[in-house]
Amino acid sequence: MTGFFSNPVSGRRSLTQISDLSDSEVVDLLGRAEIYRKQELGTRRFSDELKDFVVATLFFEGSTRTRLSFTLAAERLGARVIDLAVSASSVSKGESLKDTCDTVSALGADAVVVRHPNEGAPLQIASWTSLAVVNAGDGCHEHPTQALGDLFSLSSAFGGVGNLATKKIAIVGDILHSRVARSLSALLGRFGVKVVLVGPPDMMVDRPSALGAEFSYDLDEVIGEVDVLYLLRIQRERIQGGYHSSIDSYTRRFQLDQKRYLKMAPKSIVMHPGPVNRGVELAVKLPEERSLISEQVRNGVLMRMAVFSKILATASDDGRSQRGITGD
Amino acid sequence: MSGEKVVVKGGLVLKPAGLFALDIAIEGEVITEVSPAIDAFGSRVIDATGCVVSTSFYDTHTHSRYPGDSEAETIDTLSEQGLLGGYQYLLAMANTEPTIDSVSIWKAVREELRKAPIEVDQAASITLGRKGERLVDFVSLVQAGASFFTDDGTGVGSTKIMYEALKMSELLGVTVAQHAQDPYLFEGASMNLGATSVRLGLIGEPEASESSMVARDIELLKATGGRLHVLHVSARESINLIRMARNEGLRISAEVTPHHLLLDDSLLCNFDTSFKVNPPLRSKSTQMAIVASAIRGDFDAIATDHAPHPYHSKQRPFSQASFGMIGLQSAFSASWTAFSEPPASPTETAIATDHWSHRVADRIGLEPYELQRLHRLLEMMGPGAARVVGRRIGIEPDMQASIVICDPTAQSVGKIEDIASNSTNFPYEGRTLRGKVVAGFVRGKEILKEGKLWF
Repeated sequence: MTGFFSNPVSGRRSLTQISDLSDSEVVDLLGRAEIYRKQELGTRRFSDELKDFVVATLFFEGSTRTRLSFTLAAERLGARVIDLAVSASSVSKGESLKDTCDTVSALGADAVVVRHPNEGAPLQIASWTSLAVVNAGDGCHEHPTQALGDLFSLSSAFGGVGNLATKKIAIVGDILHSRVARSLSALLGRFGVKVVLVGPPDMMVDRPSALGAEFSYDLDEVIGEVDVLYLLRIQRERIQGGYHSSIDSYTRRFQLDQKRYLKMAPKSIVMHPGPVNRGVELAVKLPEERSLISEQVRNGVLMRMAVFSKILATASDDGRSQRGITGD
Repeated sequence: MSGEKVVVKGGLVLKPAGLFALDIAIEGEVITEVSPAIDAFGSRVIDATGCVVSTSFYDTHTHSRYPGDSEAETIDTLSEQGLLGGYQYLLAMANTEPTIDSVSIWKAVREELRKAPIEVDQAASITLGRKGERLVDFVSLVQAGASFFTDDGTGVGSTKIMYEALKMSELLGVTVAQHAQDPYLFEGASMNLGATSVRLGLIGEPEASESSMVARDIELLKATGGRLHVLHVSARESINLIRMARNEGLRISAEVTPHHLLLDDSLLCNFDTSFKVNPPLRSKSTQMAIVASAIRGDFDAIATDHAPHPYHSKQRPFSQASFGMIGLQSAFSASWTAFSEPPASPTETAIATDHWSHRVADRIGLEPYELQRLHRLLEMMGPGAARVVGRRIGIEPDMQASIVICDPTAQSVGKIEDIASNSTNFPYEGRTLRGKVVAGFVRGKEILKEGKLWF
């Protein structure tokens, strides 16, 4: 696959999973995000780069933070944002995913940001419709813009992507159900980062090597040797809903507490996709220089701006004339 | 047309011991002569040069969708695909709406299916409503004429119920066919467990879900007697277990589908629901092992598991889309394509060269090892599958003139427009397939000519 997943009919480009991107496209996205950061530090917080575009947000699963981040990113580039208040109920009522998306397409949206509880839904929408689709998290599959934003944060923290090649990151938590872990492993591996997936056996994927990662069931074994400790959000419902591990045994073995914090390498840093479950995965006040957590939120917006810009602005001629012809 | 004599000349003819250069004379509904160089004076000649001539195919595993889902398939579209695919007999599964679980339903459905231009036999379910809780009335169903029982679509999870079913099989002399799949290991799964399911974040089913049930059923078979048919085998260990059971003299048979021979789970990498099927497509290495086993002779039959679904039930998020593929019309080409990989071991080539002369192979442009495989394939699609349902067929004098002529070297690209189904869940779209069914006779009647139906 060359470049972003490209719709054969509309020529529109989509970002549905990390493998849609080539290495040079990732580097280009990092460059764009960097430009937006500089603009932000200056006076231009808003631009009209995507002035004539309409971005629709289509969240089949609740999320305030991710939706806000996407909305802000699109608005800062001057795009109109419409939110389709779909709920999980309209899915369960039997409305076909394709019908919903045909409506979005007919309303004239250029891009659609999709969060869906089912794996693969954004990719299916991209192939069924002529919309440019950005995956905002699909089930346990991927969350590519989160991973790209995190890469941007890491790249800034370590002085450029070139410096990541010698680094080691431990991703800790419910790996089995984590779309962030999947996108991160796929993305960081490309830049030479060594990824170790850490969690209890019943939260580990069946074949960690399929994600290009090593694995460990023991956080204490790896905590001293990593440059980055990436904590995932632990969903209490999941643990209560039939997992072998109890919250107690999880926190005992995988929580970043004072004792474990002291075992970390001197300049290592902590990341978290948010929102943090205080007292579960994290139970220590981190000094600012050791935590990228707020930075991740800020960079998430910048990276989503870069994604919109790359998908819409650079393909605008194609995309828009196509729409005129097909009249979808 | 009655009284017309037809001679099929120049083809390689399927016999139990191999493929031989023979001519076939047909008069009325039967074959009158099979020998080298039949004098065709006064007869109509069908030129089969470059082709193989096989018995018509038997499918031991079709989902007719009758009654209950004419949006997916009708008896007409089903028959058309069957005949185009070279079949003369289809065995319809019992997972319809309603389930075929009583004498009255079985009889009514069978009456309707009898009107089809292709022979369609109807299986009955093992348990009421296929719920796996209470046996159907085996005795009455057998008295009415049912001879094949299966809960296909789901496995019989309860060991006790399966034990009782196999006892019925022993008592009444009928076949119990198992969709081997452990309900607990399968729970929530929409594909095979492996590298692809891990990357996609989908729940995967391990092969052990199938093989553990096959192992259990074999133990039950030993305890009860009876006759067990294992449907759509997809796990490597199942094959080993079945081979051992057969060697012990148990009455067990097994089928494999064209899609498990040709496709693997890496095709799911873009969440394409056309490839969602149950049992799921397995890893590349398992798929290759299944092909090797099929060539070696571990399976009795190739069965399509033809499972039409209306398009909207596939246009859903992957984990919610229906399981199943259509495959009746493409079964020969898909299986033959799967058999076309070069031999993995020099032994196969050496053995083939010993038993199959280059002279014969050259007649249809194949290597000796390919001829050996083609023989194996046709055996599984015709006589082998017929044996599973208790029939004996073959190309011999006085036997029914139901034959199919296939060109093993013709190629075509799979296109849904060419498929006669109401459904579009066709997994070979755009894929180059090798081998074509070009002509066919059913009971002496030429129904297929140049790849088109003719009646």
